[in-house]
Amino acid sequence: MDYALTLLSTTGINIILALSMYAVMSTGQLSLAQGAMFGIGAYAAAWCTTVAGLPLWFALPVGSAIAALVGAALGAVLLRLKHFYFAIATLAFGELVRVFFLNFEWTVETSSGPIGPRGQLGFQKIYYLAEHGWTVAQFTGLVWAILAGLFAIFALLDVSRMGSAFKMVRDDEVVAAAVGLNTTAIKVTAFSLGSAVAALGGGLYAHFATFLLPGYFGFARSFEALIYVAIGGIDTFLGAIVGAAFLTLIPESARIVQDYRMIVFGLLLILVVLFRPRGVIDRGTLRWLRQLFRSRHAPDLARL
Amino acid sequence: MLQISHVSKYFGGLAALRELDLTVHPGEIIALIGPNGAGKTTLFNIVTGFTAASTGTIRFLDVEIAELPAHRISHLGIARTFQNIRLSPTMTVFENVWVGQHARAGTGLPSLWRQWSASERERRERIDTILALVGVADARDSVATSLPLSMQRRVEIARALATEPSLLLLDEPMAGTTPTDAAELCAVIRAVHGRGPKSLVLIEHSMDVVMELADRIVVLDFGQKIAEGTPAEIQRNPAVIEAYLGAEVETC
Amino acid sequence: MSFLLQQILNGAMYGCTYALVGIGFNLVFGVMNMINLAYGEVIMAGAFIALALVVFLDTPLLLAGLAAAAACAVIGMIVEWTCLRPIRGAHYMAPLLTTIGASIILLEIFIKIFSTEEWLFPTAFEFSQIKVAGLTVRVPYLIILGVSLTLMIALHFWITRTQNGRAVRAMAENVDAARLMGINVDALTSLTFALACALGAIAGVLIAISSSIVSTTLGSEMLLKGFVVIVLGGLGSIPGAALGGVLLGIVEGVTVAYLPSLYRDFFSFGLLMIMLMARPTGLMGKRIAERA
Repeated sequence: MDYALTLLSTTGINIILALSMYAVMSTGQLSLAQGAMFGIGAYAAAWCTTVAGLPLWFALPVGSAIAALVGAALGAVLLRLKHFYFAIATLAFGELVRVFFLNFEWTVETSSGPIGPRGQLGFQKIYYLAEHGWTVAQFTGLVWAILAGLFAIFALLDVSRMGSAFKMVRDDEVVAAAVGLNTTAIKVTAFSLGSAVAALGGGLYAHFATFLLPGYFGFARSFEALIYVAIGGIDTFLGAIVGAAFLTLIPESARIVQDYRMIVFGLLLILVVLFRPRGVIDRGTLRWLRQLFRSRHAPDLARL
Repeated sequence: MLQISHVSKYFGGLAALRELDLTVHPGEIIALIGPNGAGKTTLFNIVTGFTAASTGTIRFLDVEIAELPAHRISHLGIARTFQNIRLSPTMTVFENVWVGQHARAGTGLPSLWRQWSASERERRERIDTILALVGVADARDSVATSLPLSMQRRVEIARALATEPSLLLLDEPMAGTTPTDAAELCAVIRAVHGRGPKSLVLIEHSMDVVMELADRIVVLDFGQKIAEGTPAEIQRNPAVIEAYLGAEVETC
Repeated sequence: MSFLLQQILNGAMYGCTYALVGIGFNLVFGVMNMINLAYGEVIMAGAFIALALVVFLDTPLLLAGLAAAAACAVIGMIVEWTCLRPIRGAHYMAPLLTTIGASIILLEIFIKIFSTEEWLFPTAFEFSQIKVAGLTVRVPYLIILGVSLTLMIALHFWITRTQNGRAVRAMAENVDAARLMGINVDALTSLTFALACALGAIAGVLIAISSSIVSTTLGSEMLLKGFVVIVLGGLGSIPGAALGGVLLGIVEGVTVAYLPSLYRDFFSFGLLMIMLMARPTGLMGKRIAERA
């Protein structure tokens, strides 16, 4: 039972990571910094609960807020770049963050030894959950409660003017500007949102895993975020959810896939782009889903 | 309303526009004609903020706009359509036109919950009115890029209208249309002029459309204005006849 | 003062490897407008292949280097053939995605074989140095300088004087016109890709012999350095890439001399950001093809 719950938690956290990538890709940008933002959220939230002794419900938003600010600042500078340059610049940022945490030490002495980020040794002993009597079930519940909230937000976003503006920037930036949209501001907003969501996932991960190593938040993690969305479907937040769920659960069932997970993912990515470029849930599938929805509900609601 | 003074545009050594002066008065329909490469679309790009002029000033409603970015110029009330139709392939006709209102309605966080407010409902009704005016109301929920070209053109015009412009720039609206489509599109443009933007500037190659719609015609060649006047005057102008032969004839 | 000069000299020579990386990058991206995010891992592969040959098969360095270059040329062609050719004309994100996929596959394969540890690259001359005008020049750096210069001159010759080279420039200007003129675009694309990857492999080997350490993190490091170089030097400009590479080398050399090595990457990144904000077209400006 514990195993299933743990798996559910992992899946939930991966879905959050995927959603963060979707947020950025919904304006047509490819970011390889999601792993770094995940890491910033992880370290920040862990620091809040261990060193600062703050409760979890405070630590998570703090982590997100920090990442959102970093994302906004970074985005403001980088988002004038064209897609390829932007992707590499975010990769550079990701590397920078990894190197930063590899060298960052800020510990506080406690009765059980030093607590805090310790460079290469990482951030150990994030025991908040255990110390406060959380069960695995309760944590899984928390993850999925947060996911439900995110689902609502992304669904609302999808049908709102904000989401529509995101899509217009993605589909044709020239037109977006011609109809009065500040494309840079929109891209920065999306990037900031994506950073905040990634950090949320990171904060949850930190308490789940109880220790962090800088190497967890590098290129491989950003690549994971990317592949969840690329395979699930780039055009809708549902794609991120389906992709992350599918790609987390399948390796669990096939040992051989587990060991060569990344190679399989890489191959899958290439194959998907070659044969189903927009992912599993592409525009056609989306339209079909809409028709399905439309035929059963009032036309008003069907505007979703 | 729009005053273009001494505008030049150089791409490297090539002069796309040379000391161009042009004024658009409220309520006019102006046609911009000239051979391909005369600088017409470049002028549109400069006025709407997608290209920077090398020299000159542009005043719109007494505001200097030559240095402004495209989205700010759109806010001031200039809208345009594109030579190659640019619609979003992921959105329906309604959604494509809905985008036109975003800048005025706001796309911040509040837009997530304001969707069900009365003002939003009113805005959506306005879109339906525009769709009816332009004649695409029936295709409202179809994917915009699945429509025939002339219908897509109308959707583009509708989107431009949704931004509530006082000046509308149309880049070759008749391009690739059959004679019947062109006639219908002409009627749409007249209807649009009657109810919406006070002024229109049209880039067109079809001389019949131009003669029919325009109050004033401006002729460009090699980036310079070689003639300006009423349709009747232009028809008789020898410089125009010499520089610009081979006009396509489409009924309107 | 001579310490600073020493650092600048070292940096400039080491920067030649960055120049090679940038040139290879430019060949593919600047000239052919094709994205290859797997380029960094190809460089890493080149370094490791040479390492394996030298350490396990006692191959002489020169031969190992050539073999690595040949192997990476093949890898490059495979990547081009599977990840880029089928999606020509697809939306802009497609090549980004496929080449990222290729890079992850390459990275994982080499991690499986060599783990994430640092490997020592043994060379006979790694500690030899000579004295020139009062400054010390390490022999590995001399080799870097020599090989890089030779390659750059050869490349310049190829692009300006040979038929293939000129055909590639024609393709850079206008692919369709080139095709109509009878240029075999597909074959030339593969050739250029192979060439760029071979260059990268050689850069990887040069880096390996000068720092004596090879690890699987080399790939992403080189991808980023290559990026900084083309931003510094300007997209599409091969002499710009050469200049950018040397400049980056100098900046790094000076930084490392006076500050803890941690700051080296921060400075590179900072330089990148400044260039992107101040002069996105690079030092040599944006050019699509190299002038004759």
